[in-house]
Amino acid sequence: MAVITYPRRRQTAAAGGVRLRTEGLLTFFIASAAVLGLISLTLATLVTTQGYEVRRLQAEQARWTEQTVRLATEISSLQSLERVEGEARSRLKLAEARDRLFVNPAGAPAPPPPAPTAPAVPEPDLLQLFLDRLAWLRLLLQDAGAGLP
Amino acid sequence: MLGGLGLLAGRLVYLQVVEHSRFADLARSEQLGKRPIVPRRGAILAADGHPLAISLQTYDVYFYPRYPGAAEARARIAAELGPLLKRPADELQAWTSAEKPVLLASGVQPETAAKIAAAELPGIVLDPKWRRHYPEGSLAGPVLGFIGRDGQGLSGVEADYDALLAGKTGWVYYERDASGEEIPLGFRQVDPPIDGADVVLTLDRYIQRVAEAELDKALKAHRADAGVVIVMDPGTGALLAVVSRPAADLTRLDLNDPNLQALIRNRAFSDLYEPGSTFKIITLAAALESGRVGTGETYYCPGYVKVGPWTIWMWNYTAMGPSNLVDFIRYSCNVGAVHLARRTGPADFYRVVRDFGFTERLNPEFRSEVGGELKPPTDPTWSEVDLATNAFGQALSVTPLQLAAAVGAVANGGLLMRPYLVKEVRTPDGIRRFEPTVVRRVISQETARKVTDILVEAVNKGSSPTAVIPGYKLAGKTGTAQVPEGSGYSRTKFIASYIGYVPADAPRLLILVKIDNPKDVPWGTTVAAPVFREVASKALAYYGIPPTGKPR
Repeated sequence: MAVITYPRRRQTAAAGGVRLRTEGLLTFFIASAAVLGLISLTLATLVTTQGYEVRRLQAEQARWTEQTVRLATEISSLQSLERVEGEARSRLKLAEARDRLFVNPAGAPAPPPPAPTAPAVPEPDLLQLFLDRLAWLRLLLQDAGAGLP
Repeated sequence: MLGGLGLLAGRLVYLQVVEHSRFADLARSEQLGKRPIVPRRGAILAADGHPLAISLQTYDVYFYPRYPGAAEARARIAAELGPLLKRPADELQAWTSAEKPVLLASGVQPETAAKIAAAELPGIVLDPKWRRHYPEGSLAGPVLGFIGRDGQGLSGVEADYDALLAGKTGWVYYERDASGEEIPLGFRQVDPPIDGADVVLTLDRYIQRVAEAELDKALKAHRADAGVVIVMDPGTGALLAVVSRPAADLTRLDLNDPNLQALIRNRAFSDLYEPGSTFKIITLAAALESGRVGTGETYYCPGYVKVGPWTIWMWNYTAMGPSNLVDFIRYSCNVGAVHLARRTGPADFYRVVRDFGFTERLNPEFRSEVGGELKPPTDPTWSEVDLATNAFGQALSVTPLQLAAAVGAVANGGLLMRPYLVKEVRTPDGIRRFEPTVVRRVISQETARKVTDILVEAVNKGSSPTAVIPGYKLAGKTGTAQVPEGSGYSRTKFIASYIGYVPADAPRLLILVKIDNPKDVPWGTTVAAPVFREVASKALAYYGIPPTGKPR
């Protein structure tokens, strides 16, 4: 029976080399996984943080948009005809214009005279009012079957 | 054993295959929640772009007593919310003592809402809501209409154009926990809302305001029940002002008011009435268009006319003697109206009346608009007296809008235009413009010119002195209509009206004034014509239309 004996030193060195390589690889994988996990976690955190920031900014944008609309509406309220007229009458002591002047450009035919301040046809006077009521009274007393003017 | 396994397998197949989608949906509905994002309702703008109705965000403040810690914090909530909501703390504490959720305040402004949110009060929930705001107050209230609590348009433009104004609701889909709350960082999908389109009306806010002020003045002076003013551009059919009174105050609208419908109804579109003598314009147009009557037509007015067993009287029971077409309009002669209708013949008379649009709804977009009522000769109960009374505007019903459009057709050279209120719709995709639409030619241009000439001459001879605007050629007609009551007419209720267009040569404004049941005098010339004059003279100056006619 022949016994082959390898040199002990060589055998140990070979085994040690394999173990080292395995440990190195393991360390590398673990470290890589840790780094990748860390990167992934950092990215997830960043994305989440940015997501919250986006939502916050969107809410802020909506708030400012709403504020713009609100201010525009306030301007509209201040420009309302009722308010403008009220201010003109009370603060500026203005009165409604009655006389209107239409300027005739050169060469155009002469326009009719401007409208007078007072209505051309006055409101019905007392006699007219009396006659109106008389006509109505007659209408009430008689058969109301006739078409009216 | 095998049978049992078979049963189990069958059940498994049933659950996993046959009922798969149902159970998957159930699971999803358990895990996923959704909540709506209400879009901003579009604004309603006047012709110059000034907002008449606009939506602003406000908040409703609720108290949920079952929230953790809410019941114990009632005193603190009342103390902190009291000054913010401007309510006594003890009142708020009494409200929050209920076991059900309570609405503490609605329409809370965003600044106040932010302060409430910052206070982090347990059980207090802020619910964002859109609220209509009216920068011009109640201007054109019945035209604009109002929206219900659910944000849906219920009357006026708000209802007619609800599909455009409302926009599209958005949704947030989210993963929720056992208590139904959204899981932060869970699944979340947002389907964004689409805001409603802005609607630009043809209404001119200055003309609208003038018309409202003048009508209100007249209603007060004559202690009248109701009134309508329509200002229209006869060349396009654009409605420049539409006033309906009485009207609710939009800024203080009470949705529980039982009279709300009466106050918010647009009487100009929805109320039928017998137009009375203003209808004689249509009778005149029909007669001239038939070709059987010329401008030189004369007749004799003995003060009454026999129609079958009936006697129709002149309104003042006076014989006007030999008369022409100008006299017919000037004296508003009923005998003349019957004479013209008989000369026209029922076939042509009713054809023209129908062509003027009295039996149809003129704009299908106006939901509240109703068609007129007219008994045609084909009706078995129709008789000659119907033709006679129709000729002076009785025994038929029209809306103010129909009469305005019909007389507008005369002003517009015989072309009937579709009356319209919306000139533009602004969406995020662009602007859609509405162009004037010709419904049909009703009478020839020549007939329209003849009718206008007769109306102008009648005005110049004094048919409606209180409507005259010095310097402007006016074509118009008064009306004092009787109100049907029972089988006859009321002796005490009248409708005073005036309709006219100016300048008559190239009409820019058509104005109809209708005042219901004035208590002092019933006459259109005393009650309605002055309103016409005031609105017309201010509108002419506003549009810079110079005097053209014979000054009076």
